Amino acid sequence: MSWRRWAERGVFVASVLALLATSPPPRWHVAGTVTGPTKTSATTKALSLSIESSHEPVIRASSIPSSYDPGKGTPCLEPFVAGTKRTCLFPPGATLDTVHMNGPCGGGCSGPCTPPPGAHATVDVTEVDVSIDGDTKTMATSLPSHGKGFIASRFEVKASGASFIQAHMTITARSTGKSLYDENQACNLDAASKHAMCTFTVFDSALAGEHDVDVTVDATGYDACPTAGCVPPKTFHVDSLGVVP
Amino acid sequence: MLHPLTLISLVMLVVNDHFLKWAHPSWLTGKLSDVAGMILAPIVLSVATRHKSPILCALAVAFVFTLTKTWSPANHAWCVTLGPLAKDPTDLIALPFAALAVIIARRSRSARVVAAS
Repeated sequence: MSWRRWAERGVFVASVLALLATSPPPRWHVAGTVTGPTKTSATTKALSLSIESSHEPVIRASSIPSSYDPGKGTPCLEPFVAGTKRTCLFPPGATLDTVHMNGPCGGGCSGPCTPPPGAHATVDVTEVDVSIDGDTKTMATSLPSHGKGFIASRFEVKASGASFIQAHMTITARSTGKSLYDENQACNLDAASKHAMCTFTVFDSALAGEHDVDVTVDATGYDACPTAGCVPPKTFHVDSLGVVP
Repeated sequence: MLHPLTLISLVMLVVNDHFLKWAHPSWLTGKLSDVAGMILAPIVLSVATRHKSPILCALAVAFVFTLTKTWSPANHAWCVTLGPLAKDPTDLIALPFAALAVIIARRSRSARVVAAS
């Protein structure tokens, strides 16, 4: 087939995509009202956010690991229920950047885009003392050779018993001990199991042809403390570590 | 598909939809995508139907375009299934550009006939 036929096909596909993938739909946007400090002042302090909102807000904080789906913002491990207060904890070093809500505009594609009546979010931030606990889980596994169409392996870590959880996963080749993968992640709330869940995507290219690997997860759990230097409640633990089939 | 006007329309559609509309929102950027789409869509439809009837393809596109720009239920149906499309009857100013699509599609068909013979 000549280059011209290929070029025609390419332009045809690009044209179809361009005609369908037009501008994203407009969304309404409401910023939350934040009172209190937005930065921790010491390594023993965390930010406790008491949030009351009409819709599930997107919270954006920096200086902490991002989650598996950064588009959803910084994870809060307390589920959202409209009209009720919930508390989210961000670990030492965190900076609260924004809290906002958004949603698709109703009424088709025309007309003004206004937020729903009563859309609001109020956030009271306090600095609290924090307790820090850790747990480790390891797994020796043989990853299957992927056929065409598979480009990555997915690992899931479930943990519970803390108000903010982050997991650090490393993968080493069993034969050589060479480090193949290293990532830190803030865990999201898994609505089904009510556990915190971290999902790590490991591309085949990172494994460099190694199939027998050792996977280690070092997870850290943070909780608000009634008094400075308090002992962790010892409720935090990694529940499971596994490869998603 | 490789006619210069087709390629210009494709580039104009992508650049306008994903950059110009947001960087320089104006009446002009509001119409540019409609003009580009009115040239590109009939050609794409014509290619997909192996150039059987470029005029019919242009008429079909113009008909759907007019409906979605002027009739709320059609606009809503488009919005729900394919994405946002402003309901603005002044966008119908782009309709005559469908004639360019017919000319390009007909030339393409003639070229194919000559090449085949």
